Amino acid sequence: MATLTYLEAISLGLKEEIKRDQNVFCLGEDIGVFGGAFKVTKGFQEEFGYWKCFDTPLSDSAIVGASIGAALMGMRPVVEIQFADFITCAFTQIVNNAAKIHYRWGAKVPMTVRCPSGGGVGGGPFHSQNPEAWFLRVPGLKVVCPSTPYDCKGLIKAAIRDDNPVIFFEHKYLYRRIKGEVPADDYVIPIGKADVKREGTDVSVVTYGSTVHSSLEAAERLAQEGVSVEVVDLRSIHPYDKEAVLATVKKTNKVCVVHEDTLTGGVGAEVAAFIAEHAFSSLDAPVRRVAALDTPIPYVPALEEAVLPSTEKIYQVLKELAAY
Amino acid sequence: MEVDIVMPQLGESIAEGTIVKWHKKIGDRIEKDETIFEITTDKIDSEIPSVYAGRLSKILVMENQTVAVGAVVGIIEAEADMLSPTIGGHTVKPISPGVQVPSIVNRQSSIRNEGGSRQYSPVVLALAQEQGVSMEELEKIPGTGNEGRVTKQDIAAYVASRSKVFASVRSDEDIIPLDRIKKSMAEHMVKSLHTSAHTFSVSEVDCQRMVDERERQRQEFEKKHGMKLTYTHFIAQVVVNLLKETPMVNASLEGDKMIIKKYVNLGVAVATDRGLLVPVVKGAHLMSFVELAKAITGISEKAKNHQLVPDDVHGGTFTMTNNGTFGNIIALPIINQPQVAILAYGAIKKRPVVVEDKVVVRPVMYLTLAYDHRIVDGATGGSFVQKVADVLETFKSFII
Repeated sequence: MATLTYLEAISLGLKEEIKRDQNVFCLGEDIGVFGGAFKVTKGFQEEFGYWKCFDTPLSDSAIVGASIGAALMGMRPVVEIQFADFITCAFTQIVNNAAKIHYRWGAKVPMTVRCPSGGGVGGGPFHSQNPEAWFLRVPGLKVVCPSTPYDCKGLIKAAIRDDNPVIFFEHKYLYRRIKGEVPADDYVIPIGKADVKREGTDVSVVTYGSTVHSSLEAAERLAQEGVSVEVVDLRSIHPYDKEAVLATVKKTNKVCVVHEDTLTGGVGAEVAAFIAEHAFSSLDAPVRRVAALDTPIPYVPALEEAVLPSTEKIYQVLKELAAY
Repeated sequence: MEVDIVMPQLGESIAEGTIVKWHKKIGDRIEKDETIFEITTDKIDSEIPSVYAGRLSKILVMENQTVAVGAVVGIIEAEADMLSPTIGGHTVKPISPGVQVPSIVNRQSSIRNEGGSRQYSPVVLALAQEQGVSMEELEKIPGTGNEGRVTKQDIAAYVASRSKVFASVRSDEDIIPLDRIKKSMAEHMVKSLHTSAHTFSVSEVDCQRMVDERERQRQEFEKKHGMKLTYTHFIAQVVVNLLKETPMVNASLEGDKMIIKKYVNLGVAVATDRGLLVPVVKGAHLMSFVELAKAITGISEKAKNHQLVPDDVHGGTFTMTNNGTFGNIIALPIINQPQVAILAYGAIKKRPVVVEDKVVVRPVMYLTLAYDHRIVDGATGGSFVQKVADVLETFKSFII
């Protein structure tokens, strides 16, 4: 057992997979010689050789397209999109090719697409987005968003070993700010299983990614005020753990979905609709959501803070829910 | 297709059962082998699994209601089994599962937000339906939620207070409702006294032989069998042997017929943290000393660990009870129906006794036999317990 940062856990998971399966290799912009924009793959090329971790031209469409090709040939590529925002350049490759090839040709595309996502680092509109909702609605893909180092290592392994194309959103704000215990053994977290990060009885929060941590902070504040908040970390967005969602709604009867992504049409919208459809008679309050305002993420820190969900905003909504 | 759920029979002599808890609500999906409800029969709780997969469509017997074995307690809307053969010439088509996700009950509440002064949330309406809270009552429940709305906690509190029959008025009194085991014991005891003509005979036992024999065999027994050798084992062995000779004490009375049993199912009373239980060692008359000892110890452990099944407390023909645990020497026990006798044995204490006209110190124990004078008279009962005492005083040795 070691205490690793969120980033180190991803690196470790990647290294172990490269060692375990010779078909696994990494490709992306600046990940070879430079070790990656965030240094996730630092030292990989030296340790494993050129073809296990190499640099690509600046074209996400080409990178992902090449990965799909490699995957079709039996390899297990792990492609890095330097900032998740640029995934839009590879959109058709992912959505129209990778996601549909198995349906159309019966061929597998065991590709993993790693994307540093999220804001709070002053990255501005093109370096701060959370694109998971765009892919939630594509059949044929899987999408995961770990929030802790433990979940990172377990899920990157699950993603690489999955025969489906999996998009792995790593939250850049959490990279070096979150530390946690990571077992040394070869454990895999199943895709599609949530994790109750905090048990509670009065109000539920269903969340993932960076807002797991701000939700936990809000829960702690509310605990001082006698409100018991349950925090459920989805971990996987697509598919997401419907049973866990229903269980927590049944338990507390009041639920709020929280994510850093913008409000309209986000993952929260899907989860809220699901709850209304399948757990109506367990609701003692309307389903609430806390998310970013429907604007591009500002560059100016004060504005960014105003747009993104925060512990304070979550706290206020949960307090209202508890009193409803 | 609609299928009846019936009160199961968990033991040969069990005639009824009480529903303790429904694990499913009307409308809930039930998988095959999933627990539908929990019943209690004579203090033993059992979970009852469903034979069919389907949806619970009716509940006919509520919690804490007792019904006869075989009575219909509910109805399942069952899915036809994929593997079932044709029924009446028509292939039974399986009902395809609609939602792949186990959904929480979306009950159609007959209590609705119609015209009332307040709006009630889905869970509050669902609870009202479930707990039988009428719209009139609902309107009166104080709301502590937003703008005075009734929350789930509010209606839950109302339901709880509604079922509280006793409010403790005096501060120097505690009011505690009887739990199932106490209730069962209370009923059984009173019924027994009303049924049998309780008569008692007491015999004194000089336990020197038993004490010596146990001391002699103790260590090896423990080593060989991994359990302690106790006086109960000796007394039980003597009792079982003598019951074979005096079957009148090992009988029961049904109407005007005596059922004289040639087998011995020995009940051994055990004090557990949940109350008094009397598990039964079946077929004691066929057991060797060691087998009987193991059986008694085994079933006592089972009782203490709440692992008994209903059959374990049924079918006894005679009961033994140790009233010496707290130092009492004589007790007048109540017969365990439908038996006709029960033997209580008290604490062994050193006493001055007269042996061959001399006063000596001996370990002395008293046996009290309570018996039913409807069919066991003083001569029979008295001589039986005296014989037990005599054998315990004079036996040569036990084959252990």
